[in-house]
Amino acid sequence: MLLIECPWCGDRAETEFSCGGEADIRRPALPQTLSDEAWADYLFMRKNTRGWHRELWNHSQGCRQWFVVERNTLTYEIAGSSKFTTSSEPETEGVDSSAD
Amino acid sequence: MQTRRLEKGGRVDRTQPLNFSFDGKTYQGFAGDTLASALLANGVNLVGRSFKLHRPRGIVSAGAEEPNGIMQIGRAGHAQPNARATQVALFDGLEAQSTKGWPSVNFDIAAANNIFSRLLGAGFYYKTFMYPRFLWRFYEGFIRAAAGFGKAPDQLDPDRYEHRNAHCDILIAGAGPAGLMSALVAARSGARVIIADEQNEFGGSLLSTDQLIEGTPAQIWLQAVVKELNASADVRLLTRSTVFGYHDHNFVTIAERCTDHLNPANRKGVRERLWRVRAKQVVLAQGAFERPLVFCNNDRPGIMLASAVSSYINRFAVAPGERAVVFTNNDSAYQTALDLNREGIKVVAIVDSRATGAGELREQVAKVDIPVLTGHIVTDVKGSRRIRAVKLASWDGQPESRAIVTRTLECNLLAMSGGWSPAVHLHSQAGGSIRWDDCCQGFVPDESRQGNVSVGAGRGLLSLPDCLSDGLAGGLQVVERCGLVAAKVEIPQLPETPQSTLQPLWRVPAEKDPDRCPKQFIDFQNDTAVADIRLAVREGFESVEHVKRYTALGFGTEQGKLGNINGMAVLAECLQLPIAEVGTTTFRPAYTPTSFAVGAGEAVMDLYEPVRTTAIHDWHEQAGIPFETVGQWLRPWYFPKKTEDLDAAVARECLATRAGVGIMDASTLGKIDVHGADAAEFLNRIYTHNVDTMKIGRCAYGIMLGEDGMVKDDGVMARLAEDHYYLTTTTGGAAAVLAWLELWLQTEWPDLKVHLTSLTDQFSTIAVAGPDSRQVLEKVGCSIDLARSHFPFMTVKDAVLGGIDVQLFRVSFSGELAYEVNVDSRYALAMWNKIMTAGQAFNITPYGTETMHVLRAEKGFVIVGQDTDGSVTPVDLKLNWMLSRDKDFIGKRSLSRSVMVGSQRKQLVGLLSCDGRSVLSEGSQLLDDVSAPSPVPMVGHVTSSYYSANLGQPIALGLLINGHARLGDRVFARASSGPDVAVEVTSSVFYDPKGARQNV
Amino acid sequence: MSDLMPSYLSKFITKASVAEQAGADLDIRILTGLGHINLRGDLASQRLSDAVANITGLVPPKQANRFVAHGRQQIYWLGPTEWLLLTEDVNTYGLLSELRQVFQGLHATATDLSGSAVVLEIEGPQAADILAKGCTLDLHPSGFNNGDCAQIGLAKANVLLACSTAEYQYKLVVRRTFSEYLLQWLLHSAQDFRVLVSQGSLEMGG
Repeated sequence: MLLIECPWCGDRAETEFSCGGEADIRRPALPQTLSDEAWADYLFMRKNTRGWHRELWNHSQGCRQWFVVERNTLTYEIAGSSKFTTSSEPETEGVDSSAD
Repeated sequence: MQTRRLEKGGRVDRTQPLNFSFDGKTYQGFAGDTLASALLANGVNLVGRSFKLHRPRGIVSAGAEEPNGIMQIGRAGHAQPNARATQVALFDGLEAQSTKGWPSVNFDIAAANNIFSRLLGAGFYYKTFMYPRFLWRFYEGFIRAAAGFGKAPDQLDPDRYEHRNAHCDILIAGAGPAGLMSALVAARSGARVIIADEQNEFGGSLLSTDQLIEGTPAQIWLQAVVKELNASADVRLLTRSTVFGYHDHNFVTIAERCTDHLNPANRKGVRERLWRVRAKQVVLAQGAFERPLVFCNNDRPGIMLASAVSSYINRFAVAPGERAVVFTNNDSAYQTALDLNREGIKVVAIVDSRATGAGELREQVAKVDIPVLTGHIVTDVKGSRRIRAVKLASWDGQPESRAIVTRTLECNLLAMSGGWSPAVHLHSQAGGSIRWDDCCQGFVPDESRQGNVSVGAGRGLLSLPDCLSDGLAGGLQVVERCGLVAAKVEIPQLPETPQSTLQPLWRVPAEKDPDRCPKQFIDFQNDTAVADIRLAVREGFESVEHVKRYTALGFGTEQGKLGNINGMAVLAECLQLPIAEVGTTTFRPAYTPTSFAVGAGEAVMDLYEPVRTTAIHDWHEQAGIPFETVGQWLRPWYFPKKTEDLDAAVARECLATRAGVGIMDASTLGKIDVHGADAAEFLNRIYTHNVDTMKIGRCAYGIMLGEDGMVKDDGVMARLAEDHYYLTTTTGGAAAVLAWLELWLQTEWPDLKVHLTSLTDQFSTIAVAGPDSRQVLEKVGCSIDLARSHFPFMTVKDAVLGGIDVQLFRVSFSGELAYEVNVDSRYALAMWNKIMTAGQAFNITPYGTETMHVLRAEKGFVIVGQDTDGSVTPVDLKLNWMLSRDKDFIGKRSLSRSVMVGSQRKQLVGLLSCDGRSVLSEGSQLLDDVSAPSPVPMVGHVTSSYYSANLGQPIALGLLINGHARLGDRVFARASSGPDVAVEVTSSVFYDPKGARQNV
Repeated sequence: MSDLMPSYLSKFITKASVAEQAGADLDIRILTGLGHINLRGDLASQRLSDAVANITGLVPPKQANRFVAHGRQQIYWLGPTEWLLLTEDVNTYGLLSELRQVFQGLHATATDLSGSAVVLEIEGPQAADILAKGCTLDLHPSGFNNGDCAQIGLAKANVLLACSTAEYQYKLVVRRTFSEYLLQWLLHSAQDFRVLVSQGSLEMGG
């Protein structure tokens, strides 16, 4: 059972959380302008990373906050957790959303 | 008679005799015995039959690795299968049964298997029972009956089990000399410590040794250490507790057997406890397993591990035989010879495969005139139910040599030692790597992946002084890693005994070649012999994992503790590879068999799952009605009168509601408060309809889609103020929908100013439905004018009803004039009673989930999760009118994907039985052509089906390919049993299609 | 309005004849008649913090998983934008109006949840051990003591668990519909001890 660091509540047992899958998938701003293929890519395609993976977790039994965990899918090591930015500015590609 | 009990010594209490039975016969042992030691004390030698060949078997070990002494303990609900006699503490009244052998272990009919053993080699079952394939189920019954260990209890387990979470700085697995030294330094350094050992008392190998520590018996030192640990503030000592699982992030599971050592009649409290420990650091001090030697007929009763012989003598005061031979390739078994000799048991000879023999211990055995035959091997034994003699040969150290028997020594006990295999199980479970160690000729822990350290024999250090100093060093290391200041601990002084190195001896040469000689067993429990592994290799298996599965090496309760290294070495020899390259199989929890009961803990029966009830539940319960389980909720199912059955009650409730007035407890609906300046914008992005243009006080039916365009949930939503909405979800969807809304809000649109608060428990909801519902509420006394002109359909108002503050909704899930009353749950029962009282004059009829389902189906209202299954779009449900063209919403883009349009989608339709009376089975498949050859093409399925008393006929909803274009067609419904039913495809709205009745 | 304890809770109350006998190892008190107000918004901000402090006399804790208590009220941190105001006054109407008044124009919400939750107080030397049977939080006093709280799973229910001022004393806030299950679980888990279940009231401490 993983020990996951909630950015607010600290280390808690995995049973307190639910996983939301791959992080950093942004909803396209104008879905209707996308081709079927591009929309399907957003909808279905995931990296299925072997190794370090940024993923969404929700502290569902605690503070109910969603945040990003960097976890190694091979070793289950967790490198750290980060909050989402509260700014309304859209993130640019490659910028770490952990800036808080 | 305890014929083999020594007169003095040992850790048994001779003043406490305990009676027990084995296979129906009564024996006596002492407190402190295990079942195995008590059986041996009584001269019981034969304890079981082997798995496949049904060969007679005796006790081999004194610990968790025991392959043969597998017992069924106790009876009825207390019964425990798969118990290892070596780990079962004796208690008065214990009843044990051997688990193999029919009709008895002494006369086993299936022992004939042994005669044909050459035909029962590796993969026998796979090869023999393959053909004809259809007979496999027939074969399987016989194989399953003939295989397996023990029987599952056939009665409810009356005992109590529990879970216990714990946290510590340092967890120590194993309380032998190394573990105790680690614990000592951890405790003195102020760490929070848990130390667990599977035995009934701490000490590990110290309990079975006559060695001295600081000039006094080791047990005296042990006593002082345990006393100090017991007195330390934050140290928890767990005996009878097996660390059986090492999971991620230093999460470790321990099974504590609290009362198994007592007679069931005297057991109090919890029987087994599952400790779920999160440790900062873990010390692995599990010790090592002695290896058997692999010679012909090495499974005969009377052949035991040398260390086990020492344990039975020193710890249990049992002499496992009268004339002993010791066979070894290393020094440690010399100590066994000394132990035997000290107790007056004749040691005929030590047979040492090494040309040079042992180090200092050789001088000690010489002093007591024990003959040592160096450069010799035991190649075979005589005797079947008990060995009578061993056959000796000289050996030149070459693995390929053929043995030539030179002497036969009479004996009834053979103590063997093939060296020691460190117990790397937990280290390996934790993801750590292992490496081959030439010095101990075994796998030892290499890199750790988690916060742990292995100490002592568990990493190949076998002498007592080494274990003590290594335990201290490991303890210091983890104390430091915890950020604590290490306290001073002295290493106890004791003399070093210089040892000679072990000689690898994996397969003892036989008189014939290895494929033709008598069986040389590697895995006793699974009857895997050298020849089986050689056969597997000849048949093309190379990977150790494949060979394991083909030969069953390392299966069963002992999971290869005894035989795996020997097996891998034999495999390596066949493949002509170094053992290190062959590698080992994977170690997984549980380290020893662990009961299902302790896994379940207290979460059984009433505590299996929380039962949630509404605030009005008392009333329903007093009415004595049946309940339906909906997720965790208990909901009234129907309200039968006197002798009514389900159908009669539902028919009455349905008719009464449409003709007069009905009342339902709808409190389980999910309820969410949405508040904030951007509430309208947020909900506009979630719901398919235009939320922002809703007027204050208006309600709307709303559906939300997943981004894939499929219907996710539905419910009523209402605008309470410019920046304030209230919405309901399905009973089952409440928590998931709230989390999903938060996901969008927090990750995608954090700029939106919206707060979501669950009101599911705050409000109870009472639905009052039917043409008389307005009059009933008027009679209760309502602060607002309920007339349509003031309070029209699909609106919401705050009101005072019967003196209680409520939120009143003019919504309807029945299609009738109806109200939903939202009331603070503390006053819900009072509200219900007031409405019931006022409703008496109108013959108000309480109804449950079943009637609710019929009424809504008559109206063609879908239930998300029943009529939809995650593959249904709003278009499939003919809800196109709810899809806004003016805005984007979650899932909208998916609805125009090319695969989502076209005539192949399953669409919601109504289904009427052509005979006017057959009620379809929900889940029935819809077919166009009943005479089509199998597999019959299926064109849809039935999702809801009821008898409608209001319509006087059965009705059903279903999903049918291209259904919206097929109204008037005839299709057939086929269930798993019963005749096919012809049905007509109709509109899904059966009753009041214009909606006139609800809008009055 | 009446504030009688509902039957699904009152059935757990230890009978008077039993309760009169010598003391218990574990005291479970069911607290009724409390007001629960859920506060949403950035209450750590000066403006909202001051506003709440003016009304309640309590500054909402900025630190995660802490609570403050004063007089007849307590405020618990639940999340970065969520706090719970617990008050001894069952009538929350006045308090809610005042809060909503000062929240006008700000991104903040006050919601009455008084009918939504049940508060239990658990006291006794065994309290932490019994809670640890169903809770993965480390309850060792070095990590969880006076003023600490946490939302966490307890057996199969979600609770707000708080460590009170008195030694071995914990407070549990649980959703109403899980309270019956939770009491059942507590009594099951504590069955090897002498347990007294009674009705209590919010004990205010500094």
